[in-house]
Amino acid sequence: MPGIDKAKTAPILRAMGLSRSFGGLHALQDVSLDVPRGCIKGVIGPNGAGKTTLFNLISGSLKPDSGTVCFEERPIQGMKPSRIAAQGISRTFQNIKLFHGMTALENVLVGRHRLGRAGFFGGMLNLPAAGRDERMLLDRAREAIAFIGIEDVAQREVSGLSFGHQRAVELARAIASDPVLLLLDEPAAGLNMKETSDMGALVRKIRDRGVTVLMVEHDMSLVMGICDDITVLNQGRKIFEGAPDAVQRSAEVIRVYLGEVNAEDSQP
Amino acid sequence: MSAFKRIMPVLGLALILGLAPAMASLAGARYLLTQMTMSIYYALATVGLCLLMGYAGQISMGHAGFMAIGGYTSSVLTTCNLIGHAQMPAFSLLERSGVLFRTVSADGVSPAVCVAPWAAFLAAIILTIAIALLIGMPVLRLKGHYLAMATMGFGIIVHRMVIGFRALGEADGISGVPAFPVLPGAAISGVISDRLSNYLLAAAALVAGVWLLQNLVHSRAGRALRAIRGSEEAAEASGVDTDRYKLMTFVLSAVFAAAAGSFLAHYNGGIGPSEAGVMKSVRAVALVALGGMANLWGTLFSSLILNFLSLRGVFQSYDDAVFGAILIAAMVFAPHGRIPFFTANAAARAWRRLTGRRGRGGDARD
Amino acid sequence: MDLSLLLEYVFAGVAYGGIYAVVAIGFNIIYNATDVINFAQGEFVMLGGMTAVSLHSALPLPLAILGAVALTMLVGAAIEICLIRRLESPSVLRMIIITIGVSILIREAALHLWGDGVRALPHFTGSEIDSISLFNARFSPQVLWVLGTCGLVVGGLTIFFRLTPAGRKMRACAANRTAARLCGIDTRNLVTLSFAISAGIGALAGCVLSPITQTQYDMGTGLAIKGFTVAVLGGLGSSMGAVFAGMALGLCESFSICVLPAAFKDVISIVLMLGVLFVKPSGLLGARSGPG
Repeated sequence: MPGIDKAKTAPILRAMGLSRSFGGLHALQDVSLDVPRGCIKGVIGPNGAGKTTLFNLISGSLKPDSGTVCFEERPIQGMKPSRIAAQGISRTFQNIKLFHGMTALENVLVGRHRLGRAGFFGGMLNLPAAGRDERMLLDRAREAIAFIGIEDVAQREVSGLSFGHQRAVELARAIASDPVLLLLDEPAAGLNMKETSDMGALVRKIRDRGVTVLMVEHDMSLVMGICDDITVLNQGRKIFEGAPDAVQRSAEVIRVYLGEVNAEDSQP
Repeated sequence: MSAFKRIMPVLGLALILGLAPAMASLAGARYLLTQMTMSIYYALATVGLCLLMGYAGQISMGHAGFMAIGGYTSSVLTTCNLIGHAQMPAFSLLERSGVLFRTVSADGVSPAVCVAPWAAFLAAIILTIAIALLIGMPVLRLKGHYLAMATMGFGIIVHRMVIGFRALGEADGISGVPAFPVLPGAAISGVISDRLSNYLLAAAALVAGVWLLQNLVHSRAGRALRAIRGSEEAAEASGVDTDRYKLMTFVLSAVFAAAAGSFLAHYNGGIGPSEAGVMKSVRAVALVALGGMANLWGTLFSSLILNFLSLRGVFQSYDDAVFGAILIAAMVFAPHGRIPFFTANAAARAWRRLTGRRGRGGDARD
Repeated sequence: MDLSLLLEYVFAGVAYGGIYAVVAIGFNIIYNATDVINFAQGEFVMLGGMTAVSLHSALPLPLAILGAVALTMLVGAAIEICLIRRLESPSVLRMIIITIGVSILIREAALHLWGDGVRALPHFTGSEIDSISLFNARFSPQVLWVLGTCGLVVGGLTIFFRLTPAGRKMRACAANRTAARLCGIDTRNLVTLSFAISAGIGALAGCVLSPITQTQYDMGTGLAIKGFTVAVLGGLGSSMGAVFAGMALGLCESFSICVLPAAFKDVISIVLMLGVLFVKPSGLLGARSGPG
């Protein structure tokens, strides 16, 4: 049937004509983007290209001036981030945002929040249903922690963890909600080469679980190594889209990147 | 955490509160029960603020406003004479259903009809919920000093209303608030001979309140609250509807304050405008800060102890200054709201060690 | 309402408005330097008035005022050095709670030093029965002193911030603290200076206000709320905004007497503040940042 076919091939996320400006600065202009189901899609571009703005528009932290974002063919632009998250989109942050004062396990449990049922009153009265709900959450949170491989720090308070562990906790929190689409905002920022390649393997493993991944990343080796498809942004506009080798061959992309390198070199 | 382990500290609290009057009697100081009862009611209001400020990270400088709304609603309804409206059709129906009750007015002879305490209490809670929703929706969109100023503004408005309206007794407040029969044979009142039963009622209310809050903070909802305090943006991105959770918490903490205010008005037999003062709100904030912010038990004990001392007049004319100093000391010397030298904390740690549990994370382990 | 009565309301309004503006500017100076709203701002006004009254028993009025301003500046600087400076990357919540604690301590200290009675400085020129007549409306010459002080504070601060090295550094610090520090500016001392200046102009306002409204130990909270309302209304950080907003609030309050019982006069500013915060938190006249 054509309907099923369409569902299979339709992109999981489709952004159309997204624009957003801050004051007079056009952070993003008329950017469209498709994320096919089951792939790892990368978004790259020099500083100030609008990558994080794009992420914030998709995850709901920002509202677009114009344009639409459709997730599973339903429009989600302008929704609150929590509603977007509830539909199965989870994210990490460029500058890690963990819940300080809570353990790693508790952080991951919050990640699982959307799949819990117990409400305010169930929790207050400690109803049996709330207890069952809590045990279910706990099992799945432990699974997520084991999947990421941070069992040894599960009971530690997160502000005392190393940078790498904090990133891992954030990732565990993001996948704990069984997302359909995972947004990774510079997952390798601040990691060394070994950690970066571990991160790449981890992202692949997450994809192999059936999670579609959209990631913004600066580290070219990581992006070229794991992404199936790459969108290149520059100064708020999309300048190229294609497979990694096509990106590497693109004259436009080279110009933008080399241009930036030249500009950096020429600075005193 | 199993239900059993979770209930142990609550039972411990019940035991401590239950033993206190016996010790007071042994020491020949039964008169202390009055201030002990009052400080329990204040503590009930403060633990509500602890949930909002400590766990959810939303400061409220207008908590006394809600206490006053509870206290004044109960006081006004149980003392206003409705006999003039006896002709109204709903009157007899309300009287038969027990919402209204016949009594005598302040002069001791002429008959009067007032709202029954339980109905007034219900009305107080409903009014509080309505006001908290109305205020909370716009206010909780604010952060930091804007939130502090806005809630303080709310508190001041309540204070001015209480002073400014004749129906609320202006500067004199309201007196002659009747007893509130909560259980057969036990009523919240200021009658000296019922001092012990009143104390026990207050203690029971506090234990119940703390049990509810303790369950809440260890539940999915409580975890979401702490997440909001940690990072609102990340909580939202994890699917926590932060607006809704903050509003629910605001309303819940207001209900705790209003219930405490209502009970206190029945216990004192009246209420005055000073209950709504800004300083009362600041005190509650100071007690939560001293208790260690996201620490229900710390707040509980600091509130019980300091309110008791304050009511006993231990601080003399330095009463407010003591609370000001506490605010500064707690914030300067105890970053992240952890006060190492606070004894209740130490006791809690010792208790956990004794029962083989770890810190707050322990709840997530079984 | 006839013209003379109208004018009298206007004069009363602008006099209070000038004071609110100065308190708001005090908020702004510390806010620009630290991103903190100093809840003890109203206490500086009270402290200035009280100290001047005490000093005036031994000193001539100008010296008493000068002394009061200097002493209050010391208190402001001391608060920064003893408390604020000790904190490393404090959360807003902590800072708020600390300044609230400070305001309580100052108020209680004033209660113990000066009692709960009302005190007042004499009118700067003439006495309380003297008045200036304009279109049959009578107003106290002290109103002119208030307006003059307000103008002096705004003008003086403008010159200070634009022309003196310390002032320029403070502006740099307000614009970007990290960058200022990297350029070798000692931001810590500038924060101390901002507390001192803020306390000083608060004290000055307390002195010129004292003959009109008298000074009492617990006047600070009310003034702080009004000053904050004005600061938010005018856009946090903006001096000219504060002046306009201050006048607007003063006039609002002054004319509110016609329609509302006097007991609710204070409620106006709070309602106004809540309204602004709910509707347009960045202030009516633009601002550096909103509450979001």
